[in-house]
Amino acid sequence: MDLSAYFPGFLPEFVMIIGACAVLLLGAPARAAVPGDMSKQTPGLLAIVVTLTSLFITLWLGHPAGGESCPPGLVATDLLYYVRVGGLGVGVLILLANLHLPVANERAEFFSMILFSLTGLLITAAANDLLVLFFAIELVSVPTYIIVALAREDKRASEASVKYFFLGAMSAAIMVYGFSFLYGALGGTTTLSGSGDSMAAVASATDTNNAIIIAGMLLSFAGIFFKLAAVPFHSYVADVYEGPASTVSGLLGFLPKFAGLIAGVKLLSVFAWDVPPQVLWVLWIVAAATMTVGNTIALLQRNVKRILAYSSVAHSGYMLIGLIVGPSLLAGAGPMRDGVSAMLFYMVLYGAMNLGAFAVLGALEKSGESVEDIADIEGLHQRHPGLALAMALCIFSLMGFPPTAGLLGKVYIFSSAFSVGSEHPFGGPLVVLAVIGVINSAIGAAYYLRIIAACYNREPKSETKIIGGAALRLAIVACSGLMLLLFIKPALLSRDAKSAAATVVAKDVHHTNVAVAAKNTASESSPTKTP
Amino acid sequence: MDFVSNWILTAIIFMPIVGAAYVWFGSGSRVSQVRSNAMIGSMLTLLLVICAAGMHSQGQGETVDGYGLYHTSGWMADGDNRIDVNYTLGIDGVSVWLLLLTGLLCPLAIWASFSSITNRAKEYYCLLLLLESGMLGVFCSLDLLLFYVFFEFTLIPLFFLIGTWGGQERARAATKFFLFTVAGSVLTFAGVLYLAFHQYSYGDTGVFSLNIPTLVRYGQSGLIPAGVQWWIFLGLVAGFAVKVPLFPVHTWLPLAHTEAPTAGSVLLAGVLLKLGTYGFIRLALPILPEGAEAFAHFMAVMAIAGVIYGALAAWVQEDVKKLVAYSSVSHMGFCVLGMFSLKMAGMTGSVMYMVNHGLSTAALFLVVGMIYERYHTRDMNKLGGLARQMPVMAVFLIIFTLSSIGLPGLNGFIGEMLVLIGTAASTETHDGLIAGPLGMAYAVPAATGIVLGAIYMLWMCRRILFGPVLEPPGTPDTSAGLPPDLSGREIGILAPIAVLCLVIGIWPKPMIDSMQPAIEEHILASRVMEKDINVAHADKAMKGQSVASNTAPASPQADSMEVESKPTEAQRFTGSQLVGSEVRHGS
Amino acid sequence: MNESLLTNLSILILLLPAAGALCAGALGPRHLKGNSHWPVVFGVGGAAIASYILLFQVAGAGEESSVLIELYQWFTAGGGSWFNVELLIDPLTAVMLAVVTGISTLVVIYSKEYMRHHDQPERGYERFFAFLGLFVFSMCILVLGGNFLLLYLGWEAVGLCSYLLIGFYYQKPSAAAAAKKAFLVNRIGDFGFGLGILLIYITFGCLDYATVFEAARLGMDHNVEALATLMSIDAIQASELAMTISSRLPIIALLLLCGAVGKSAQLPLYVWLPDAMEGPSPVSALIHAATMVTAGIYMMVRCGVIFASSDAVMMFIAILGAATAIFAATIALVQTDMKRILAYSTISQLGYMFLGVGCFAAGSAVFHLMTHAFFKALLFLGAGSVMHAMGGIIDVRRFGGLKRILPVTYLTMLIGSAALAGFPLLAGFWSKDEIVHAAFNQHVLLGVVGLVTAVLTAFYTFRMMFLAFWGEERVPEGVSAHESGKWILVPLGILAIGAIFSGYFGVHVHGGGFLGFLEPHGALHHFLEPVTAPFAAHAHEAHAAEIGHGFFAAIAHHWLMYLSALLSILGILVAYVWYVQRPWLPQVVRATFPKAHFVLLHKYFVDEFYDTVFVSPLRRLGRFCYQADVFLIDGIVWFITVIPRMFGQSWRTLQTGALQGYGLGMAAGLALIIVLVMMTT
Repeated sequence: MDLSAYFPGFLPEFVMIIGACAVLLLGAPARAAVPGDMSKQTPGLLAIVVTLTSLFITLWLGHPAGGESCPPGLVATDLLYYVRVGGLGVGVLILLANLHLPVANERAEFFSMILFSLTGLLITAAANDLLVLFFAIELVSVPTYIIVALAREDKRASEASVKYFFLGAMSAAIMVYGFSFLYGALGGTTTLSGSGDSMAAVASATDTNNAIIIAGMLLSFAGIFFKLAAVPFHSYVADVYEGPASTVSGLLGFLPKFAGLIAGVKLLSVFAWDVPPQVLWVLWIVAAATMTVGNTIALLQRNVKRILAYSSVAHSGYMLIGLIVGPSLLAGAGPMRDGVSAMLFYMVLYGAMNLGAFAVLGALEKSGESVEDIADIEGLHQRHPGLALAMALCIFSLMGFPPTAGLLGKVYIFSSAFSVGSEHPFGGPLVVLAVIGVINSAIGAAYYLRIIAACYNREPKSETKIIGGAALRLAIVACSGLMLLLFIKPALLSRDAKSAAATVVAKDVHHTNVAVAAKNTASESSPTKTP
Repeated sequence: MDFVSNWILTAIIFMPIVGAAYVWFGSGSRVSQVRSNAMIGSMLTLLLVICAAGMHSQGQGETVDGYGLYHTSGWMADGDNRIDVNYTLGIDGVSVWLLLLTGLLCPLAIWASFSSITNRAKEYYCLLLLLESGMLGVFCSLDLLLFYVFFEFTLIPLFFLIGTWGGQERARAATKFFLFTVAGSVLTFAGVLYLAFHQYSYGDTGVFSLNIPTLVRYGQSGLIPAGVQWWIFLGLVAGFAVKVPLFPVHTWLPLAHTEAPTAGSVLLAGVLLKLGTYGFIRLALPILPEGAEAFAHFMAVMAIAGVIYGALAAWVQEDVKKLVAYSSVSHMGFCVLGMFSLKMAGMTGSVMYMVNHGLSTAALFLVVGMIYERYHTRDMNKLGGLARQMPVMAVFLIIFTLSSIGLPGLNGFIGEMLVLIGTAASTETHDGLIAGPLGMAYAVPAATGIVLGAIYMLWMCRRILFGPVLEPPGTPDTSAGLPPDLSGREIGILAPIAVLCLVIGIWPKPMIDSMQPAIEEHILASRVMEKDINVAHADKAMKGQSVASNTAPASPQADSMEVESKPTEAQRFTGSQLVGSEVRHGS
Repeated sequence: MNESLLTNLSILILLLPAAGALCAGALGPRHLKGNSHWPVVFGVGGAAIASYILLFQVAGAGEESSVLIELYQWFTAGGGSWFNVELLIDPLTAVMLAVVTGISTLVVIYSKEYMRHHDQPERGYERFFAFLGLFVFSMCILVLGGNFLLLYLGWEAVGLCSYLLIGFYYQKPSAAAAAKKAFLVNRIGDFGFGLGILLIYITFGCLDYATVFEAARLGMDHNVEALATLMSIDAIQASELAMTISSRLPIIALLLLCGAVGKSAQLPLYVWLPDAMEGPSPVSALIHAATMVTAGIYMMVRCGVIFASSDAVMMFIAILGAATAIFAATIALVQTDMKRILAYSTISQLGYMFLGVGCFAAGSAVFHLMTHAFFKALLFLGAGSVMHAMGGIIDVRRFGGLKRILPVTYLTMLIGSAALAGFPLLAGFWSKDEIVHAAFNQHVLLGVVGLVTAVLTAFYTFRMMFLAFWGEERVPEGVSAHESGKWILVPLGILAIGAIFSGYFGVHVHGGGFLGFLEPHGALHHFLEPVTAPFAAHAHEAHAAEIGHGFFAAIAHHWLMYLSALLSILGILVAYVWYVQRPWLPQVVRATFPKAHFVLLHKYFVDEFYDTVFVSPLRRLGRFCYQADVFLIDGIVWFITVIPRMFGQSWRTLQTGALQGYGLGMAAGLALIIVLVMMTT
């Protein structure tokens, strides 16, 4: 197969793959050849260079024109562009934040795994084939099992890794089982969408409300739920996030989650969101439960990492709202009725703010131990005002509080749910879901506030000192600065998110429910418009 | 000049932030330098606010829908002209007074902190300035999301102010304050978003808009069904009621006040509580006329309950600050009651009340702070007869007490009287507005608040000021360089407020003149009676063209002149003409 | 009338005392010190001169004796009409101003000496004068105000001055408490008063006297056309308005009455006035005897249209007045504090005035108000003089036989007491007599109560006089008693002259009958006629309806005067017998009726009653509210916050940390979802 034909369109992915391999392979020789401290830094720096290169290429290439020749099973869309920008952007921050890790010698392995995971993320976004999608998701996940184990020499880390791996494997099995159902139900093709005999084309022509499709969707989503840490597949989260170094936990909240959501988008786009109501209801229930369970358990935690872990569960719930709402499909739909773009926006935002919060923890050390308990960060403001400020910005953003982008993320998500409107068959439940989400943000404020209160309103108890190098601090500054920047200028991200969402469903595919709903909207809303 | 009028509101909002930055980076480590820089920052802001008020009264700058100094820049719209969620600012006759109030109280609060704050002064003054910025932002915002942003943002500095420089239980107070408010305001958030969606779907703009004038126009057009209005109203109320605070969600207030440092209490009582009532006036009432009317009884009952409950609870306090805090609960009940009369009198009274309560209660907290600095206690069992030790303080305390209990001739009376008149006359149609939901049955229990107010405030005065001298051992503490009675600085802080209390009480006309056109146009537009609407239509016909072509419509001056010119000497009793028409419009 | 002159005069009357007060308050502490009285003397004196010029202007104006002066627009309830700051000048105002400023001037002069000890100004000297000036200013606003809001403003402002002056010796806990009590009890009355004003507003749509009274009159007459013209409404609306007016006027009258009851210390709100004697004596004289407490009477006369419209309300006022008069008089019988005796006497005399108003004799009530102002101010100032001499002691049990030590004080007080007792030909005799007349016209019982009270009044007044000035000369230990200086004695003398002669403003010379050459209803009544006309109009109807009493009235017209003269002399004689000739008699009486004495001594336990029935329960309610805040509301909030925690707790128990558990949980969850979905498919 002549790869060169596809080369221009997928250059960033190629760069990433090659870079990942290179970091892995060069690791050992570099260790031998470059002495001392420099050798430790080489793999990490190389990984950053690779990621940055890929990011620049992405920006240089611009939005895919649509005419790129794609290898089978892949497709270059604006969604891919968005994931490249967002994923690689946050990826750089992740690498920066982890640059001082691990303490042991497996640096090359560690950073190449991050690169592989990032690559997997990009390919997930590019996948146009059920199998490619599956492999891509696993390419995101499998390296993270290793990363968890490598990040620090701690029994807990290994334990976390093992748990993560076993449960991940189980969920992958469930997911692939679901994929096989879908494959069977939709006429034996694995191509997701596009002209000809794609799954989308078949789905639009058949009655999707049959048991096989429902079962397929449910099982597939079960796998995705695991990646998202959604209820009831959330239980691993606290143990796995607590195990490795804090900065690694920040990574875990981003890569698998992002991949899972994109997989969800891909699956739903096959049906143009015209899935059987049972599936939507399951998603609804899972979203509601995920928000609530995440937030309520987080209320009880005293370990900051566990708080953030459960908060990560809750945020998956918020993002699931966007996923359920789907892209802007209806003729009369408003400009804010775009759940997918809201979700994409929120996901990147979340990646940065979550990483920022974990990175602040990771930058602290208390007599050689890592800082985890909330008592350890008491009075942080007096000892390290800069770190406290960054923490505050990230936490306020997680809380959805101005002046940070987290608020705007919530605006996008919740207003998309409201904007579905009562004409849409699922509009009413979505409004309820959004209200549940809003109430959950109030519950969430309680535990986020504890972190901030600990940093600011208490006297320092334990002697903490800053670890990690300038890179970690740079990552922290970037993460928290991004919260302000995106608050002032959300268009930096939201415009790309919108164009990405616009491409997830092929324009020419019209599904029955949606079309009917669109017609209803048109006919019902026109008389109410007064001259 | 265009440039100035375009950006002056932005300058007002960001001046304190610039000041904070200068305090942080430009004032070295000396506390005196820090606080004088903070003072300069807030004074410059006050200057800008006064300039803006002047420009607004001159009708300078762009006027859109009756909002002066209008300015808009892109924010979330990001080029999509179907989204109107922008950085939109503008003021009218209502907000300008609240801006002035904020602009005045902040320098005074900063000045009042000179002697009490020595610990971490730099952060303290920065936070105060940030708080000022947030409060000013709320009153300038004409975009609902921007409003919400500033509304919420004010919590952050105050949370830190209470949590760091507060009293014994500061951590609990700060957390309680924050969570109460957040719990309410997330529901407001939902209401806001749903409102915007509704406007987009059923309005005729085709724009997803959080622009307040647009939403007001939409709300007034009657396109929101009553059921939907209820829900949105409930959502909005949830946030505003906590902020006001309305009974029974007021319990955060006494705690927050007692624990907050003086400046925090001053700004909390003086301005922050008004954010809630301002929210009602700016959003809930004009956008959701039917919802407001439907809930008016409920809100009025809650308000009256607050009036009485707050007063009774204030009476049994031993801690002066707590007493004043509960008095705020009582007073803000009045404020809410007035606006839900849905009458011009009640509404004017409400806005007046906001300003007056801001002045008098802030001043009371300042005085209490000054006592505390000398005696290190606020327990009335341990203090007494201070009129002998601090005669100047006693004069001020009595003036503010009297203002607070609504003595005629001082500012409190005007608001209180108008609120009661509005409430009592709510079922009547004297003022050219259709009948409102309340009536004498609400005015009577509310009026007991006047008696109760006198009871607890004079009780406080008597215990602190009068009787034999009673001082905790080792006090007054003059070690910090404070004289036994008020220093020149402290007199300088209180005197402007006292003068304003008197001036507003005697000569409130300028405030009323600028308020009422704005209230009529922006809040009560849908409640103007038919006979007046015909007149108004003729006026609006000309205005309508300019609105349609999106150029600047008539300036507020023109509006106020219309209202002004209505009563001629021959019609001095115009009010009475309408007495009989209550039957036509009454229930 | 010369309007511009009146405008200037009325503004002067307002501004001079205010300026004096400001001057004393601002410059006093630092610069004027012991001279702080001068600005106030000049301010109040100037106002007095202006008031008298104004009085003559009004008196000379004849028919057109009412002028409205609009100063500026104050505030508005919307709809275009403003509440103005406007002054109304008419005969009633002129008389009130003359009384207020005249007596104030004397009191201010008196205070110059009274407020010093050993020629050293007391602590707070300048404050005292500033408050006095402020009081005069407020009182002038009260009587000059041309609408109900200014009336209310003055009403509250005099209440404030009263508060400040009662609490002048703020370090005395009793003074501080009395000040607070005065303000609060007044506020309770003002609660009704304010509601009355609100009801006026919602009925008439405005608050200025002219329109309200005219509309009320037309409404009561059901003069629809005129009402329609006045209010610029059509006939149907006007007829509805007339109905509304006639149904609401009694309620309005009752509500306004609340304010009058509070301010003029009638049952049941009189309790503050005796306590108010904690203030310096000049304050008692000026505020709590001569001027402020009469504001209620002034208001009722001013609102004659409203009050006179309902016979029931008028009867209620009359009964209230009569009850207060006799009730307070009985308490005064046994008090031993000179000022308290006078305070109860004031309450009792105010009761007379109420009785007068209630019997449609508004002119007589104002007449009594005026004469009472002279002799009661005189008595209080005299009591102050005694107190000054006794080193602050005022209990008549602790001194006696002072007439040789304080001859001038004694003499002037004797005149005042005689006037109060209704001794023939003195001021009190004429005015009280008119009221008793009117009472008999209204109902015989009211008249009888009026007469009985007159006896009691004569008795307790002279009891006080005899105890203090007659008998064995006794002076509290360590007090070097001496007569006061001229700053005190000159005002006393002037007031004594007033106590003798002021009654003659209200009588006119007439031929025939013993003493009959002096008939009631003289110049003052004619002067006030434009204001009291509503009463007169209604009185006519009321009396015509009661023929039986009309007969009695005819007899009384000639004989009552002699009867009451006799009764007052009788009262004085009894007092003389009891306290001078047979001083053991009171002991016997006390021993015979121990319970009655006990009850009277404790003032019928009214204070205790109020405390148990109103104050304590209210305070308990306050505590309950606060407890509810802490426990109930915060408890509910706590409960709400616990719900998510409970959720979290129940979920957390599933977090065992064991891999198998997690796997099982995932599988179970998935199974649950699938089962649920399959059941619904």
